[in-house]
Amino acid sequence: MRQAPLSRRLRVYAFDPSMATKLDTAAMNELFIDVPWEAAIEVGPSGEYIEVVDFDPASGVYYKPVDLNDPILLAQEGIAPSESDPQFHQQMVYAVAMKTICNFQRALGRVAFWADREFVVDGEHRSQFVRRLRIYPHALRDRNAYYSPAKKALLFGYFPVTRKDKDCTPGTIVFTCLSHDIVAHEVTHALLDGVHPRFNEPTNSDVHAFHEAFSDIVALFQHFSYPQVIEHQIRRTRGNLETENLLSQLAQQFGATTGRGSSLRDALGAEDANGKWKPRVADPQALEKTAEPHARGAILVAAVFRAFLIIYRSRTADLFRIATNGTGRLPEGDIHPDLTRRLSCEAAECADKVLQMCIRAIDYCPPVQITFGDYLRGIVTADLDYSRDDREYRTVFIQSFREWGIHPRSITSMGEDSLAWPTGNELMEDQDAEDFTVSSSEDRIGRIKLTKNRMREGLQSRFKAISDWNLESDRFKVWTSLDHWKKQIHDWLKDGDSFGNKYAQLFGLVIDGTAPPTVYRSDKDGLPSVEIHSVRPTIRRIKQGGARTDLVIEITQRRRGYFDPDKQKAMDAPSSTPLSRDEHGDFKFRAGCTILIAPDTQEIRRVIKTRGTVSDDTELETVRRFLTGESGATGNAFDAGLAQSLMSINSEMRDEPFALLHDQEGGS
Amino acid sequence: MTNMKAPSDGVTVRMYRQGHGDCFLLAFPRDGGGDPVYVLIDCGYKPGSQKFLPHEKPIADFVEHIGEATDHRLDLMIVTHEHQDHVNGIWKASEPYFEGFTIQEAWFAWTEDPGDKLANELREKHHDQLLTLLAARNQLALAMGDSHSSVRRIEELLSLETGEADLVNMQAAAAAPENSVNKQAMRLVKSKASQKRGVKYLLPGSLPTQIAGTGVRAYVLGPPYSADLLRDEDPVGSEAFPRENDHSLEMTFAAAVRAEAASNSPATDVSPFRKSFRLTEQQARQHPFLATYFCDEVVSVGTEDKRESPKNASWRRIDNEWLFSAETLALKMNQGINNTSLVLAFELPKSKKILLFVGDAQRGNWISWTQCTWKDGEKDVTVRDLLARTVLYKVGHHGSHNATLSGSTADKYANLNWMGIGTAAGEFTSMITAVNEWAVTKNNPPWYHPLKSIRKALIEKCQGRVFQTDTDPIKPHEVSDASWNEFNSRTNVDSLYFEYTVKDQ
Repeated sequence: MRQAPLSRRLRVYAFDPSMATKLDTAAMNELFIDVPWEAAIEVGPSGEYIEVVDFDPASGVYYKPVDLNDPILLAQEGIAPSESDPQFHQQMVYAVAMKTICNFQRALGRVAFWADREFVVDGEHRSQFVRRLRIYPHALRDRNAYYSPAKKALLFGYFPVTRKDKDCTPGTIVFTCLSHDIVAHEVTHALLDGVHPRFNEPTNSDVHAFHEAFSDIVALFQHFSYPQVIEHQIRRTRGNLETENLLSQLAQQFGATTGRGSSLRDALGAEDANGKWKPRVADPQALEKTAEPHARGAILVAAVFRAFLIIYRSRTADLFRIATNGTGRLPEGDIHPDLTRRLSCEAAECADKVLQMCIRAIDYCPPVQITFGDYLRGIVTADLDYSRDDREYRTVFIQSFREWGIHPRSITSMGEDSLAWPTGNELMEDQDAEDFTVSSSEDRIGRIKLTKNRMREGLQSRFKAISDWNLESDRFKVWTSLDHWKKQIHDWLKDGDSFGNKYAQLFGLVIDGTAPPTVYRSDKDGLPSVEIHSVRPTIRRIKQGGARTDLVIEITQRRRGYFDPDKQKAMDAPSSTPLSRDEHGDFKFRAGCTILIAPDTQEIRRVIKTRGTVSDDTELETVRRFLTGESGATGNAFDAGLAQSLMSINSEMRDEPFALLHDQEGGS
Repeated sequence: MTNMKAPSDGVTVRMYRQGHGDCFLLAFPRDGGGDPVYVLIDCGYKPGSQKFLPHEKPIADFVEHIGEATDHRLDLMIVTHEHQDHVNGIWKASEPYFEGFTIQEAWFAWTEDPGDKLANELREKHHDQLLTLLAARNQLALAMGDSHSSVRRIEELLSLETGEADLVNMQAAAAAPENSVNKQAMRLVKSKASQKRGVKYLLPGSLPTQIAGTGVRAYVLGPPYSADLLRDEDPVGSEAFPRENDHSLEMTFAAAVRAEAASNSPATDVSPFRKSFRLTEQQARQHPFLATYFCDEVVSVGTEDKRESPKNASWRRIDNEWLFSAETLALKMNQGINNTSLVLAFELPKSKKILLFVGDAQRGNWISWTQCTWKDGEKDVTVRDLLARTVLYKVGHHGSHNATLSGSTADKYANLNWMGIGTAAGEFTSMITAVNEWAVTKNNPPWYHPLKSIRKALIEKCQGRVFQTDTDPIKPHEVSDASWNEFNSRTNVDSLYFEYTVKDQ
């Protein structure tokens, strides 16, 4: 019997339909994407990760689902790009989404999971595995497309063009699902939600901005995985990617038809008042002056893109020297096709590494309250763990982020050793130095060794209890076993050994009676609850050349926040009766940590704490100020800080406490 | 009760405390003597907010109060913009509040000018959006119930735009907006004034306009003359709109929501794709894939913990999601109208002191001000100069987060720190029209009107000279008795109003 093919080749627009009607870009715009061969694919298409359901509620109709296994389509790489054939739309969203998922899985070295469905039945919290992300290509009649965390679905809109200019024909319809960038962007929102469900809660001006920026970064760098696109653009810019080019832009058609110039966003520059494109200069003050999430996000994207350009320039300097006999000045006219190809290869390689670094870093972020500075620390630490010896990329990232004024709070240098998140060992040393101000170094080493051994024992026995699993097995099975780990980790943290409290402090958790009364508590012991968000594997390269898998564990604690500081004080006053479970406060304040553990040696490799613990009143105040609009003019005329959109009003399920293992479980 | 008096020089500003909304009565001495020149700026409130004030008096009492203070004669009435909390004290269906008043002259922003093409297009668009919004509200209510928070949120926005407090009237107002409280109020003022000296529609940057009978001149800073006012992504004006019978017009959100509202079922013959691609709901239920993944609703099963969620789970359907687009529209409208606020700087003739009334101008309006410059004889007058001379600031939009720009004197856009500089600093005073206790009962997170940080900045800058509808000015410790007494000597605090006199010297 013959083997099934490895991949399925499908046709898509490289950018969007607007490029198909310009001679210069038409040929480059039709692209073949290789997606993994899914033997069990159904019509829809519906595979292991994606299900496309083409329901158009505003029109009250469904569109017939495409059958990618139809021999006619198999023989010609799917349907040819077409705006008027909804089945091509289905094919394109499937193909681009799968491509994005593959990039993600490759960088993280594990299968992707969508966020769990969380819900409450009779006061009991439940969670279910969601196998497929649903995509509705024609869900809205709006200049909009979004990921709905409540429905685990992407909703794409369409709208008629009302402008008339060189790019716009009034009366034609723009389908957001036909923009490669918009699809990649929205899928990334969903993928990030699968890793960090709490990043949906904007608690500072960076959280939403980060979601947007990260999705833009993935969409942007995906351009570089298509050789025909890069070569076209390298030719046009004569190898200088710092001039205006399509690679640095997102959603051209959407941008042009909604009056935003040549694209929706551009990581490199923008049109000035006269419609002339100008590069954007790194501005270290920009973040202080910007509050709107997309605009803030654009700063992060610009910083990452700049890092890529610096690397590309340094990596291609030799090629330019060779091509110009050392003068660095290219002769007029087109560059040599060989040079085009070589430059394209370099660009593709740099872009791929940058993208992988950006994706890998999401395992190295705090579970809540992320800031751009935290993300930089994540990028640096992840890269240190993955390729310690090659520091070129890290250095460039630090340089670019510094030039854009992105830096973590409370670090004393921008060197990679200060930026790296602390290891378990470092924290134990600090803790010991705090507990024993005067001590010989032998005593110290001895004590730390003892602590580590105790910790290890506790973990070892827990880890043993778990059956082996591997990434090849069914995703639901993997999900079930990972879920089981959560309980083990939870019990280890809560029960611990005689040093229980010490670990918690090490990890920035508060599990003793010192927590303020507004912190959520366990019904069982009346002590502060600890919630294990997720346990997931991540890869690390080891010296010998192979790769190891660490476990990433996210832990948070919850506290009731009140918009009125006086009420907060009153609720936090010592009282003999604990707060009722039904008392939810005005908002939730969360704090916690992400821990990376090597399961084989039980070593705590990294600890990533939020800035304060759940007891920290200053941090609570920061969140309050953000939510009430005190920390900057965001929102709209109607809502300050956090715009309470209908979408969020209607995702009640997600407003419910996220408590896989929160303490009322009573034996779940 | 006696008439309100004007000072011998300068102006007395009476800020009414009718509720969460604006109503200002200004009395200037008349050139050549006689009764004061009375100027009224806005008259409205958010229904319900008055109950949070000690007097709990209805708006009618305030209108009566104004009538007695002015002998029902207003020399000038200014309406900053067409929002409920600025105009709903002007008209009502039976015995309109201001029916018995004489209004000599009225001022509006250029956006009200019936002879201005851009203004007409903006208004038309506003009406169009109102209809769409209402249709969407009705569809949502049908699907989710009248009391659903989504429906309530849209209603709250609708009531601001129409001036109507209850749903039946909102419906009527959206269908025929010319009958809404807001529009009727505007019309009443216009018709009264046009029988006398007339109506002026003011353009920013135009020659300063004199208040008749006084030497006081008003500089117009906003709203900017620009189609961007509605902050819509769509261009307005000369650019192409789809032709009226254009097929694509049927593909809009508005078309879908209104068609559905009219017939109570979606218009299935309007879709961007050919019929051969389409399946009706019924056909879809027969289709093996769609039946498995979408149509068969699972309600009771599939809720066990730690399981795989069923393929056809009903929580993943999107029957109503598309209607949420109404919200974006509503917020855009709301901000758009706030930004049509008429922004006026009144200049006292001798001292050249400025009284700045910004309506509910938000960021878009503020940042446009610097486009204006004026000639005063040989001298250029800039916005920076006007703001520096400001001694009284009517705070924008109840002191909310984006209606008073913060910044520094070095910044290139107009902001709070451009105001009250030099000799004006010692006198700089502000007025916030807000009932905080009421506002925090609205929305989630609540409306912080005023925003704490803005109130704090104002109190600092004004050295305590801040009037807020629900709060009397409080003397800060560090302010000297002499300076506070001087301020008090020009102030009159009543439970119904604050009165504050600015001397023209």
